Amino acid sequence: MSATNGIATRRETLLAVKDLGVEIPGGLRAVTEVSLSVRRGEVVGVVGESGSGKSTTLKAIAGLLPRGVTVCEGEIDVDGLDVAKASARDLRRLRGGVVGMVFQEPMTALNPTMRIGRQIAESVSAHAKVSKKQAGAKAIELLGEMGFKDPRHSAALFPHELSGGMRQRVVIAIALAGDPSLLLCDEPTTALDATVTMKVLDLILGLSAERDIGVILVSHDLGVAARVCDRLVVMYGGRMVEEGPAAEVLRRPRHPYTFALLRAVPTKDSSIDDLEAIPGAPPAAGEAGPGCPFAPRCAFAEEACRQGVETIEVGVGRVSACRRQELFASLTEATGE
Amino acid sequence: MNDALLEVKDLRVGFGGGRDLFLRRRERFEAVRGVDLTIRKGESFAIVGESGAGKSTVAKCIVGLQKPTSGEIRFGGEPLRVDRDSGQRRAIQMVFQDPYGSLNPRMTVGNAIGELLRVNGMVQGKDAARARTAELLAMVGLPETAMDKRPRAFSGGQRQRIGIARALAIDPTLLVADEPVSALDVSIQASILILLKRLQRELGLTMVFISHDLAVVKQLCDRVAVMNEGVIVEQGSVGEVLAHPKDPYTRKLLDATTELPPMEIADLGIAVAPRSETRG
Repeated sequence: MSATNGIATRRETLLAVKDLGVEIPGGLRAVTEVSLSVRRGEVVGVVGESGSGKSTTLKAIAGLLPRGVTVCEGEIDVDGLDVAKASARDLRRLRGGVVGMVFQEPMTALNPTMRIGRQIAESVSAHAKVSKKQAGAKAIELLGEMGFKDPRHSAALFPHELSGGMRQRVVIAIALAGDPSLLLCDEPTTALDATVTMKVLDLILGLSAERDIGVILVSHDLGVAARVCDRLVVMYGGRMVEEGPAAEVLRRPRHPYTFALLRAVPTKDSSIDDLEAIPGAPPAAGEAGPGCPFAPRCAFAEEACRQGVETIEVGVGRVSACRRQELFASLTEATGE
Repeated sequence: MNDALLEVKDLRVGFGGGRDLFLRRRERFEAVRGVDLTIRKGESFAIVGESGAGKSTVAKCIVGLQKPTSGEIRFGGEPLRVDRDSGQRRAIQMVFQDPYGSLNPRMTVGNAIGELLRVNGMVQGKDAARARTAELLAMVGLPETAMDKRPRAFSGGQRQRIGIARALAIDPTLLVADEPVSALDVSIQASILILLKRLQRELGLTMVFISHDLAVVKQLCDRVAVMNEGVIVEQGSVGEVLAHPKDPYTRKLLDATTELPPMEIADLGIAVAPRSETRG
């Protein structure tokens, strides 16, 4: 799906990550063989626990890996640019211009001494040749799009005058100031209250549809991911364990980790006697061995699971990194779908 | 109600006010604005709300870490003040949200719990303390070898188990748990919830459970009070409040609670069974 006859056409696939590997100091692997893609208008959730490599994957995509942490394998194609090999200059143009980022803690992402309108305007000017006045007008427009009722008045506020949810909206406005086609959100609602979380998720969902942009939502919260994502990538121990349409993955998981996780999450419909704890603890970043990272905690692990991992296609647009697919296949068939 | 273990009447807590260093008037903030609660012996009572609702402040007042501005707390019929006697102090123990921050990093687990046991006269001598500590650790699912390690050697879930063992060490009548699973990884949360449920059932503990998450409350508690901006907006049995929320705020909170589509997958055999069959 590449641009044809030299005319800049809108590429459908905004992001294609292939077999990504990320190394941390000491030669340890934080991320191994991660592949994912994002298309326009699509919200892709990357879910996992701490140490699963989800944030590292996102940072690699934005070209924001900390010093000493490097992409050691694979390709990251963001709108035609290979991030892993790109120059510092190309990366600067990429960030904010093609890729917008939203981080977990809105207060630390904002400048406490600057009015929010100016912070957004600054970001607008960084990516387009506009006058100060135009940038200011765009900032107010963005605040309106983010759901601020009186954007002109709000633009003059300082971050501390806003609630957590409103601050996160400002951060999203800044991320969108350069009209990116891909929005990367790293735990955007983790620091927020539940009712506020829902509003921010609705906003992100609306933006992806209205602006026709791709969104990656990294979260540890399956409930959050279930609510907004079209597709899900489940990560564990630095590896992608399962990928597919969100509803499919949640209803018919094809990896023991996803299955176990779904049984471990309390919901308003579950009762404590249904909950099944997963024994043991997840490996810390870089700690997983050569085999399936979940094998030590998995009820179905065999010796071969500890030797290596193979990624298996298990349906249309679905892959699983569990060898024991015959097990899952028999189970889902048994329910008669 | 004669089976009431803890009664809270018109509890109010305010912060700020007065004047600052330059005699400027400081804003007064009322975190808790008239809370009434009755917690019965043996029940698990949840206080649910979002940040700033005042739920943790109520918990702190019960444990004695926060002095109320006004109002009354009675424990077993006796008034409960911040400067309570040691009997009352022992009877109410707390499990904190951040298990690491609440453990002394320089003390081995065995020493920390052992000291607690001896100071409170639960056991005589070091050997007895060690034996009782091992018993407590076993109760929360930790091996005896955990005794000789320091908190940093444990994962988040294990640390919370230590926090629970410590809170139970001096046989409290009431356990106050402030967001005990919020800081834990998703796959670990369930094991701590299951542990707390087992302890409730086995020890007949009375528990006050502070949480922002109605889904978690549903697993552990009998009754719930929903707090918003310092007041209780709704109170009742967990089943009733979740099925028929009356207050609009409760409804909003419930709408934001984790919901997952039901799994369509048959019995995986080993250690796990489908939800429908284990229910009831």
